[in-house]
Amino acid sequence: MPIIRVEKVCHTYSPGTPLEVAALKDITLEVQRGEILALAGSTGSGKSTLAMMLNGLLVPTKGCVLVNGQDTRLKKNRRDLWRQVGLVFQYPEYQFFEENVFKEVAFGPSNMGLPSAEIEERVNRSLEWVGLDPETIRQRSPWTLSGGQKRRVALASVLAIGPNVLVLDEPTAGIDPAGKRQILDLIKNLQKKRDLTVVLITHNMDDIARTADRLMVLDRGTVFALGTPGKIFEDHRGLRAIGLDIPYAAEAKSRLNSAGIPVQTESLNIAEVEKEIIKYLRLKKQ
Amino acid sequence: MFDGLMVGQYIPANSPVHRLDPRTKILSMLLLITAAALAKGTGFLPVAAVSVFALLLSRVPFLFLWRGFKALWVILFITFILQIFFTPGETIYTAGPLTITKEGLLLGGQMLLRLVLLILISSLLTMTTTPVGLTAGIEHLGRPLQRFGVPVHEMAMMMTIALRFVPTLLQEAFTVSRAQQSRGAGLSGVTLERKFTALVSLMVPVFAGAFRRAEELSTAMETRCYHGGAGRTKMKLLTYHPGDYMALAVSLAVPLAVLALRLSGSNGG
Repeated sequence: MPIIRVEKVCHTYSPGTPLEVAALKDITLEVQRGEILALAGSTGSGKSTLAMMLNGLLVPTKGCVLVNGQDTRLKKNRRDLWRQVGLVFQYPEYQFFEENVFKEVAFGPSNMGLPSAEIEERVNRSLEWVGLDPETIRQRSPWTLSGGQKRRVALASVLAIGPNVLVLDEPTAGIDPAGKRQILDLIKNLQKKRDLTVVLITHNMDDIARTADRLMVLDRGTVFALGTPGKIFEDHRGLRAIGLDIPYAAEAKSRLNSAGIPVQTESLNIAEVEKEIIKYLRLKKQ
Repeated sequence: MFDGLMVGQYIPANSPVHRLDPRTKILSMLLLITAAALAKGTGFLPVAAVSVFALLLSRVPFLFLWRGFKALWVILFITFILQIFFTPGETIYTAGPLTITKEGLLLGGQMLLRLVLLILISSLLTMTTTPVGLTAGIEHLGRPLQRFGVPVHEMAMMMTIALRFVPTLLQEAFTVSRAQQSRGAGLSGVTLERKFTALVSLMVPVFAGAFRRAEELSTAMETRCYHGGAGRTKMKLLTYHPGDYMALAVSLAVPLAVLALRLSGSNGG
């Protein structure tokens, strides 16, 4: 059974006014337990709206969302959804409000009404998961941390709640390349070792190539494509037309192929593509 | 609540009222409001007639006005009730300690009408004038005050910026509130203490965001060499057209008519 089912969902903002916007039109999607599903689309494609539906912050105007088989249209189901589906917003560090990192990360668990020993344990554990040393960082003010550290503290503050599903909205936006890699590796690790299901929202195609098992591409509120990233990236014309890019490796492959140099690999890993090119060059010399 | 419409929000359209010079609309609004405040008995007729005519001309859907009224309905109703019960005079109806008087009913009705007209007239101004147009108009009309050392341009600029950032900050407050809800803020069976923390978790990031934006904006303004109003030229110059003179003449006639009706004393009141 899929952990999340999105069934024929439509969503309209400010219905019945001149400011009416149809953000989602008839979206159907299943998120499988333990996978990393990427949601891509240019600005205004509806991906953030969809994200907010996954933990019940928004209720679809039409259709339904089932999380663990529970319909989010029911208020009773929606109330405790934040414990099951952790949502990390865009630039989550803008939501910091506590004086130190410990209290910031403890906000979620204390809202769950847990005993303080348990809160302490969860905070330490989730800080370790995101690669921060709880002892040295817990008393620091979240405002004094570096960009990458802030982002990881924000991630820890959601992980401390202990969700089964993690929804991340542009987790690498505004972070330097090294920090980006760290965060993506961390997400991949969490999925493998902690058995988390991850929904990754981004328009960075290299991030998707690096992490995602499956990919859904949205275009102005409709599903443009749904499948494995390797397959979807073959249609680079279509993706360009809706304002998206293709990953560097896919781009290199497609240009070489159209120049008559065959590069036969399904992989989107740049190192794999490199190997193929070297193989081709060796063959040519002989 | 946040993605709905606000009372008096600008509603884009191309109507004769929208095309009027902002100064005309500000002055007309002041004249009509004065008239509404002075009116008694039949004096309400010209005010109501002109306001409703302007509303029809503006092509603002009735629905929007209704939403604005809905927010203020409670205040209007309480005012009406208080007037009915607490005005001494000829008793019409008694319910326990409360008595309704004829004078109370009349006074209450007039007060209600007056408030409805005030809301109608002022929202007509803001619904048909862009915030930028509004501040340009105020700045222009306030120019004579500059002689007395009033920083008119700076005040108008502050008003423009404030108006510009209302929706932005609302949006941000909404996002932060959703983000904190995702961490369980202000939900199921909370104690007072946790409710307070939930409030702090909303206020601190919103204030921090406002300061961040203020700093960014001031940097952006300085890099564009903004140095206040002196010697600054306008892209959109305000000019009066024949329609403006007509609107002003009508608006001026209204309070005069109201005064004339009051002085003639024909309506008692």
